[in-house]
Amino acid sequence: MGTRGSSLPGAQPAGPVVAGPGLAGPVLAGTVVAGAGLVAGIVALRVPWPADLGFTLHPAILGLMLCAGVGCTLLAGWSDARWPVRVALWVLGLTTLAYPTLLGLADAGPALALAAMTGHVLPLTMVNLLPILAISAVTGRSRRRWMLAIGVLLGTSILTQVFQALAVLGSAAWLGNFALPMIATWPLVRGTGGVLRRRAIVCGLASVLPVAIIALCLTLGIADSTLHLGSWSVEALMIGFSLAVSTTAALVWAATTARETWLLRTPVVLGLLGGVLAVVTVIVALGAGLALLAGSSRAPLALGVGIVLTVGVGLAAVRLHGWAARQIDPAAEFAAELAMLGEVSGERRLAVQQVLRQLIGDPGLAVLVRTSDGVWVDPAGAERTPPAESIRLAGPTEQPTAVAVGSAPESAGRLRLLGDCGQLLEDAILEASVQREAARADAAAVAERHRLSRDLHDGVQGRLLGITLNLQLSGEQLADPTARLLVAETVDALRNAVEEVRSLGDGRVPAILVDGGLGPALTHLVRPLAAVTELRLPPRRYPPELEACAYFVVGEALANAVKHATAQNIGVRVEELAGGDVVRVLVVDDGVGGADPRLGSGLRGIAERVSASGGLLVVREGVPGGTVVEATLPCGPAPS
Amino acid sequence: MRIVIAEDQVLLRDGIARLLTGAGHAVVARVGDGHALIAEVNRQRPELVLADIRMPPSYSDEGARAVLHLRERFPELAVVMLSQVVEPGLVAAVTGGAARRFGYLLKDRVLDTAIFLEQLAMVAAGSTVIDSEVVAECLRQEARRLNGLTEREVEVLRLVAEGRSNAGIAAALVISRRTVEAHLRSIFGKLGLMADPEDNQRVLAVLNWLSESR
Repeated sequence: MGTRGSSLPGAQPAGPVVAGPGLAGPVLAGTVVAGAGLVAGIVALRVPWPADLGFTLHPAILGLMLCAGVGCTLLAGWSDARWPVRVALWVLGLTTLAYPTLLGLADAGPALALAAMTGHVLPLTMVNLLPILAISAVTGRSRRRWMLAIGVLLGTSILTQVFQALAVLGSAAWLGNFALPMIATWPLVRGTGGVLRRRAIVCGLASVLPVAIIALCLTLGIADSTLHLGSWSVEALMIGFSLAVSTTAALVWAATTARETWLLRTPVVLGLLGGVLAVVTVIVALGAGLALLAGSSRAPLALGVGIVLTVGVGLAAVRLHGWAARQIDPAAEFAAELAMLGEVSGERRLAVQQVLRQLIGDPGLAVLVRTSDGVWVDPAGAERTPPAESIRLAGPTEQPTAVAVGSAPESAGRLRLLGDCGQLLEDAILEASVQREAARADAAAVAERHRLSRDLHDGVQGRLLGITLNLQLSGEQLADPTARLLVAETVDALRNAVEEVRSLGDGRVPAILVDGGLGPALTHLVRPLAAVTELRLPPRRYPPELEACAYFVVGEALANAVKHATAQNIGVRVEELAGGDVVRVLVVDDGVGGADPRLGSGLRGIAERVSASGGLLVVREGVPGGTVVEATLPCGPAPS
Repeated sequence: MRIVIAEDQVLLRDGIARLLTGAGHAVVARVGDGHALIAEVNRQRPELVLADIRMPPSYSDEGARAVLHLRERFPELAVVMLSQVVEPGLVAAVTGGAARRFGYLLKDRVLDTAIFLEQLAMVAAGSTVIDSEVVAECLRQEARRLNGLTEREVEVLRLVAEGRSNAGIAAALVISRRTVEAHLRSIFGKLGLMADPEDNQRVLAVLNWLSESR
């Protein structure tokens, strides 16, 4: 089987196609090599275990190691990352695949014995290098110095092995190699956002998880030897090795592949982080307990310390996990905060802005949204051009649909962490467009009304006024008293018409009526009139047309009562009849009476207005005297 | 009195001219836009100008601008502006710091011929006349700022803004002149107006105060 084993290194340069023609080649190569390695390993398993190694491994453990190697090799073939990552993955896969075979063949000669004893060095070095390579690929920032440092420490470690006296230094250098990837990767996680951030965090996890797994297995090994459970400390170490190698390969592959994998989903990333924290908790508590047990052999004390440490470190880990959750996915927190606000229909953009201000810690932050007609608006609906430093929240990079403008220098970085919030802002963006459309329609209506009113004022009204004035002047020169009276009446009618045209053109319903309804408007109307001794008004609001009609009825009736009837007491009542279907407006005075809608143009105008809105106006003599003006107005939609 | 009328509605312009001529005034020119108004005032040097605010070509404020131009060059020229609608902000803009010999009336007022002619005479004599509708609109818009005033004081303020004299206010409200003066001191104190309540310029002070918030 020696030929097979030695043929593996030979396959290495052929495997990774640096400038590979597509993926089919590497995938095929990975599969073939993994298959060959598997066969070699299984054959090696059948060879008797070498006596010189000083430890034995259960065949199942060797099988696990073999599986790890096969997995890594397949991942290396499947990877579409940049070439340094792929090369490292290949090296990792092949050396891991070869390791159990080498162990089984250690008896075959001194060279193979040395290879078996140092078989873990190359794959574990790749485990150290891969997270750094991966984060460089993800963030596009070079980390060569850190990789160089790993090389230097590795060299130191190997060199010191030659001098037995410096073995401790060598071990320290070797352990240092496991700390370096963490220091090299995590700082680069800062400043990334969205999917990129999750990829960067996966790289960071790839630097931590293997260490945690190996440390856990080491601790379990120590537990075994301390508690004399059997002799599986080396086997625990090999399980740790297999798990660490496959985890690293899988995480690095997920972080660097262009494909969207489930490994990059937030719950998975958070779960992995939780796993690391749990492992660290167990290691610390178990390690401390075991150390105490080994030193003093007082079991209750060790148990107590272990429990206290588990609780303490565990709580800290939970807090850390919560913090990490926000770091990993600020957008998730954004979504949660927005969801907590509940339904904010009509005010969505304001809600988004408010939540973002809290999240980012920038009270001056503004959210701008691009409406369907390409105009940027702020939550109040005002047009605003986004400045160059605004951060995209939604939409494609070149043509965002929503941006945030921070007022503090640190806001930009924090906003970038949010990544694409398109789904969260969908409703808000749509709402902006709808509201703008509505506002445009409103503006058009106002402009049209303005034009109409100008036409009325500058055209019809002026001409009417001219006619009236001329008629009035002509009338004054008439000798015949009957003709003069007739002209004076016509002039009066014309003046009323002028008045009506003006109020029509202004389209002005008193603001207090629009804002406050009939109650406040009529109260305001009658305030200067001492004669109004009774005022009964409904507390509720009615449709605007009804309110306006009732208001004008009361106004005209009051004007009539004060001007012509010299009333001392006037009662104004607005009340609901027939279960709220009809509103009755009643103005009763104790004046001289004699009002008739056929005579006064004011009352006639009101009668027309009332009938136009589907109501009835009755003007009658009061009992014992005075006038009663009564309008019944249908409330709500008119019956068809 | 020599008068120039600027009004683009020919029918109304002729009607007013007829009214004024009938009352013994001399209508020396009738024009239909701002440029012609300035030209005719230059040529005729009238005592009073009666000008529509909106005139061709844009029907926005040609009349007002022409009047502003004229008042800067002929400070003694009496001007009565006519407007179809209430535009409270326009008064302060046109008076521009000098409300003497200035009137601002709704066009409808020409139908109350006697009062209209009297108001023209008042303006020519140096008074200020502001249409009660305009003042009422100002006061409506300023309702909140007038909260500190009593109902009577608001009434007095309205009459001041219309350009009435103390005697006129006393007559309108059927109170003594002393009471009017007491009201005025109270109003001016409450509003923080610096003008002397006796001065004719108090109208301006009130109008400026009313237009401050716009």
